[in-house]
Amino acid sequence: MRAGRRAAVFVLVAMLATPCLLRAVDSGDLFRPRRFQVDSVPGGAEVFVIGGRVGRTPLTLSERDIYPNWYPDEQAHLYGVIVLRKAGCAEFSRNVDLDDIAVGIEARLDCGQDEVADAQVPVSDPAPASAPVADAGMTPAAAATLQRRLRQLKVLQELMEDGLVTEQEERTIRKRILDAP
Amino acid sequence: MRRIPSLSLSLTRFLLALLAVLASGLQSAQAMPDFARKYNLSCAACHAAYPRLNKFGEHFLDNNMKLPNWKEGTVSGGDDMLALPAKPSLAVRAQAYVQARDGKSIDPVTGAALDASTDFQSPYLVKLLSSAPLSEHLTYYFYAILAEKGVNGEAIVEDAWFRHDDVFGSGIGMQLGQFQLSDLMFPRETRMTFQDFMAYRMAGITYDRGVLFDRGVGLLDLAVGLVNGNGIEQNFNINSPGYRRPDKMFDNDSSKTVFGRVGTDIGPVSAGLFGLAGEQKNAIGIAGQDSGIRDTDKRIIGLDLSGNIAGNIYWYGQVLWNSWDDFLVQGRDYEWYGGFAGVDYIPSDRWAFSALYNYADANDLANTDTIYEGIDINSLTLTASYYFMRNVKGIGEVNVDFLSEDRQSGTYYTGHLSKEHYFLIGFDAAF
Repeated sequence: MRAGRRAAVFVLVAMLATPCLLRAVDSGDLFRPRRFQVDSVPGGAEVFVIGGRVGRTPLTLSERDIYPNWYPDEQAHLYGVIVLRKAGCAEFSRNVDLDDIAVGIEARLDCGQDEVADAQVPVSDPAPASAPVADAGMTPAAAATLQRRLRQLKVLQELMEDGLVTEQEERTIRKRILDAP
Repeated sequence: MRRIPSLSLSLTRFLLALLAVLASGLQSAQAMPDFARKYNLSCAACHAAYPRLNKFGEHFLDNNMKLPNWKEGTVSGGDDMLALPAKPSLAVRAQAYVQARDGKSIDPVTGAALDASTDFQSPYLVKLLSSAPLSEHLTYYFYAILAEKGVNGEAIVEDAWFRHDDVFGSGIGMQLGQFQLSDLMFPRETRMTFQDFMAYRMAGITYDRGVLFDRGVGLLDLAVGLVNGNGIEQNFNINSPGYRRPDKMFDNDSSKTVFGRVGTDIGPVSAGLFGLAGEQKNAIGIAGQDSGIRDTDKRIIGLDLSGNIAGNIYWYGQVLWNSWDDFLVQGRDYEWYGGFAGVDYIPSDRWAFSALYNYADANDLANTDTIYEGIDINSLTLTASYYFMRNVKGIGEVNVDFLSEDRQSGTYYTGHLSKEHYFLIGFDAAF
C-alpha cells in the first residue's frame, strides 16, 4: 500500500507540475486567443461572422470568432468569412486568410458619392471646414480623405476619453488611420 | 505492485527543468504544415487543437483534402490538363519524449527482463508527409516515418494512397493504397494522447493494403473495403521455380479481408457500426510467437460513438468484439473484446486536457501460455497539452495501470508480468 500511495503522489505531483511549468516557460498571453483588428472606412459598420453579429467597426476579433470549432451545417458557407454592413454602403465580404490575421482588415466600403459628400461636412468641429490644405491646391478627393481622417481622429479621441477604448487600442487605431492611403 | 523508484520525484523535477530550458528555444518558432501554407490559412481553421480536427477539418478531410481554390498556385503553362503544385508538398511531424515507466521488455522464453525506468525517447519519430490535389477529383497522401520509436536506420511508409472522390460520376469515393481500417472510426494520427487506441492495435485493424469505397446515402455514411489482410510489411518473390521474376506478391494468400462501416448522426451523437470478416494465419511456435500456414477465420463487430459539447469538449468511445476461430488450437474458437473511451477538453488556444481509458479482456486467450495473454489492459491516461504555437506543443502525460501484476505460470513468461504505469513529457511539432 505504501508503494501505491507513493505512486499516487508521484502522479499527482507530475500532473500538477507539468502545466505550471509549461505556463512558467511561456508566460505572457496565456489563455488569450490570437486576435486581429477589423476596421472600415467609413467606420461604424456592423460586423458579422459565422456566429452572427459581433459589433461595429473598429473592433477586435479572435481567430475562433471566424474559425469556430463547431457550427450549424446551414452556416457552413460563412466559415472563415467576415461581412461588413453599413446603411447606404455596399456589403463587404471577405474570406479571412493568414495575412488578414497578421495585419488586420481595413475595409473600404463602397458608399458612392453620398459618403464622400458626407465626409466633407464636419460633424462638430468647425475647424476642418476651413480646410486650409484644400485651399492649397489639393484635389477634392484628397481633401475629402483628409476631412474624414480628422473626423475619425476626433471620434477616436472621444471614445478614449469616455473609456470605450484603451490607450493602446487608441494608438493602434490612430496609427492605422494615419497610415491609410 | 511494483515499487516506483525512489529517485522518481527528483528525476521528474530534473526532466521538467530540462523541458523548460528546451522550450524557451522553441517559443519563437515559426512553422506551419503544408495545407495551411498552401491555402494561406491558420491551423485553427482545421484544428480545434493540433492534431484534433474541428468540424471544418473533418469537412476538409471529407472533401478529399482540398478547398475550392486548390488550383491557385499550381503551374499549368496554359495546359488545362495540368495543375502541377508549384512546389512539392512537404511537411514534417516530429516528436521527442522523456519517459519514466514501470513497463519492461520481457523475453517470453527465458523471462530475462530489460528494465529502463527512465528513458530518453528522442527522436520518438520524424515523419515526412506529403499531400496535394492532383485533379478536380484525385488527391494523394502519404507519409514516411524515419527512426520510428528508436528503430534508427529504418524508414517505414504507412499511409500512402490515392483517392478519387467521384468514381465514374457516381458520387462514390474510392481510395487505393495503404491505410488504417480503424480510420473509419477514430484516426489514431489525430488523437491527443501519446497513449494509443489499444483495441485497434490488438484487433489488428491498423495498417493494411487495399481499396476502400465510400458514399453518403441520405442520413447514412457507408464505407466498404477490401484489404490483403497481412499488414504492410510482407512481400514475397514471384519466380519461375529457381529463377526470380521482377515482381513481388504483397499478399500471402488469395483471400481478402472485407470490412465496412455504417455511420449516422443521432441528434448530437455520431454513431457507427463496424464489421470485418477475413482470415489470418494461426499462431504457432514458442508462446505462439510465430505465424503458421493455416488460414483461420477472423471476425470483428464494432460500435463507435462520439460527440462534441459546446465546441470545445470532444468525447468518443469504441468497443470491438473479436472472434478468432482456430487461432491457437484447431477446433477451438477464441473470443475477446476491448475498447476505449476518451474526452478532449480544449479550454483555450494554449491548453488542451485529455483523458483516455483503454480496456481489453483476453477472455478465451487468457491462460493459453502465449503472448496473446497480453491482450489485457485496463488503464487510464491523463494528458495536458500546452501550445507554444498552433503547431508546437509540449505534453505531459501520466498512465495509470489498474491491472494487478500476474505471477508467472506455465512454461513461458506471458501475461501481465509488470505494471505499465508511466509518466512522460515531451514535444510534438508539425511544420
